[in-house]
Order: sequence, then C-alpha cells, then structure tokens
Amino acid sequence: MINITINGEATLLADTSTLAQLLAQRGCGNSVVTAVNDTFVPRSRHSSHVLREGDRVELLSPMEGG
Amino acid sequence: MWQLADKTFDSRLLIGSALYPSPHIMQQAIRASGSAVVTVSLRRQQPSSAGGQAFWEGLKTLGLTLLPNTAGCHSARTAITTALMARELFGTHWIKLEVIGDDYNLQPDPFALLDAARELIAQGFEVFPYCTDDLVLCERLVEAGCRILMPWGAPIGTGRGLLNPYALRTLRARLPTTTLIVDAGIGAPSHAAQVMEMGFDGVLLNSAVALARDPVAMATAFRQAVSAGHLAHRAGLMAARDTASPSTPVVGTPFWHQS
Repeated sequence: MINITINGEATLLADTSTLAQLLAQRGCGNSVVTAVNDTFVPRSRHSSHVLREGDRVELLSPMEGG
Repeated sequence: MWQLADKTFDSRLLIGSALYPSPHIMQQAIRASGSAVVTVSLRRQQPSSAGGQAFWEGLKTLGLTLLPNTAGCHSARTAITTALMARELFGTHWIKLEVIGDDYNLQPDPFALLDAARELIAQGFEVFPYCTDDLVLCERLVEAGCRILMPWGAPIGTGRGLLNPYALRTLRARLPTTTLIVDAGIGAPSHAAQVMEMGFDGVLLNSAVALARDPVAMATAFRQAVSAGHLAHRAGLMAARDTASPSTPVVGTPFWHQS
C-alpha cells in the first residue's frame, strides 16, 4: 500500500494504482479533471500515470464562479 | 452584435454563476440578463454532495459560452495549472485569469498575472486577465498578446462602482483597439451604464445580481442598463459645461425688460 493525499485528505492506495483506477474507484466521470503534485495530468495519460508514495492528487469538478 | 475574441454576441453583459439563492434562480437570472457568456470555476470534487453536479447540469441546459476562471490562485504556477485543467474540463481555450496578490481586497498581482498570461498565450489560450486599472500593466498585457483586458471597477464583491473613472477613461483612450470589459465592483445598474457610456466594450458582474433581493429582476435591470449605456455612447454624450445655458429659447421671453 502507498500513502497519498486526495484533495488534501490522506488516503491509502494499492501499489501500482494508476490515476484511471483511482478515478474509477471513486466513480468519477468526465466532469473531473486531475493534477498530481501541482502538475496537470490530462485524461489521455490517466491510464498510464502510476501513483507513487506521497503523491498529492487534486480532483476538480465544475463549480459556480464569478 | 459585437466581436469578443473569436465569437460574436448580441449582449455586452457577461455574468457570473455564483452566490445565487438556488440553481433554479441562477438559471432564471442568467436568462433574464440576456448574457451569452457566463463565468464558471472549478473546485475540489465533493463526492458526498450532489449540489455541485446540480449546478453544472442546470448551467449546461442554458447552452451559453463558458468563461472559466482561476479564482483563488495566488501564483502564476497555480493559475497556469488551473487554466490547463479548466480547458479540459470545460472544453474551451478561454480563461479568465485571476492571480490574487492581496487577500484583503482581492487585488490582482500584476507581476504574476503578466507571467501567467505570457505562458498561457504561448499554450494557445485566449486570456481574459482580471487586472487593475494601471495603464502600464494593461499595456504590458496587450504586448504579451492579450486581446481582451478586464480591469476592475472596485474590489470584487464590494459593489462600490467605479472608484477611479479617470484611470478607466485613460485606458479606453490609450488602448482604443483592445476589448475592454470592466470586471468587479459593479453594484448598481447605473454603474454598468456609466462603464458603457465611457466606451467600454462590456461589463462582467456577479454579486450585484446574485445578492439582489430579486436576482431575476436585477438581471433585467442590468441588461437594460448595459444596453442603454452602450447606445448612449454611440449616440455621443453632450460635453459637460461649467455654466448654465437655457434650453428654452430666450427670444420672445414674456415680461422681459432691458435694464
């Protein structure tokens, strides 16, 4: 298992988990976009992006804005 | 009709999607405003809450052009990352670029704003920078490739109107070919009309409508004010004078005696 944070919350995740697997576990659809360690990770790389110990994952979705 | 970046619109009022009493009232108010462009944001996903999703589904039904923002960013780097995420999430290369330099009055950081604008333009974005009314900053943003500038009227959410009309008039005079939209600080329809009478291309606002007792009616009032102000600018305002000048003809004034 590895320790990561998702939107600021500590989470345990199975080794060699990809970003795509994480999104599937959380039931995220197309209305979620991602960054890992402050770097944008586009959808085209979700399946190949393996998460590592200490990663900080941001999952963002649409919100009201001014 | 007017040209905003690569699109053409009827309405010169751009409106925000935040702070409304409910998603339903938000939709009604945005419709009443006549706006074709609506600002949105992106925030951490909340799986346990359906509220965000309800907002998004409701907004999509309006079929408007989206202008995502980078609200809350305090550095060029986070603003750039947020813009990249917004481009994928909302499917648009338009970005309202906000980089806050001071939390007290939410004043933009001009240095980080310019850095972020340069990078995002290089990456193919149409950057709508939320900026102060500083002429030199605005000139630098134009030199960096911004075709649109969004100087503030007053700090975000204050509703104080145009704190520095002189600076805004100077921007209009010195940047005649740049699309200028006053963003932030508008509190009343008269403020929006004033902006348009000065020859600005548009107005972006949110709180003044969303926080009104009746947001739908206020959206209508702003739609009319922006339209009236723009028409007045095209019609040409009379020059202000220091001395009175009678409007009624003086010839034939009754009971008139030369002393």
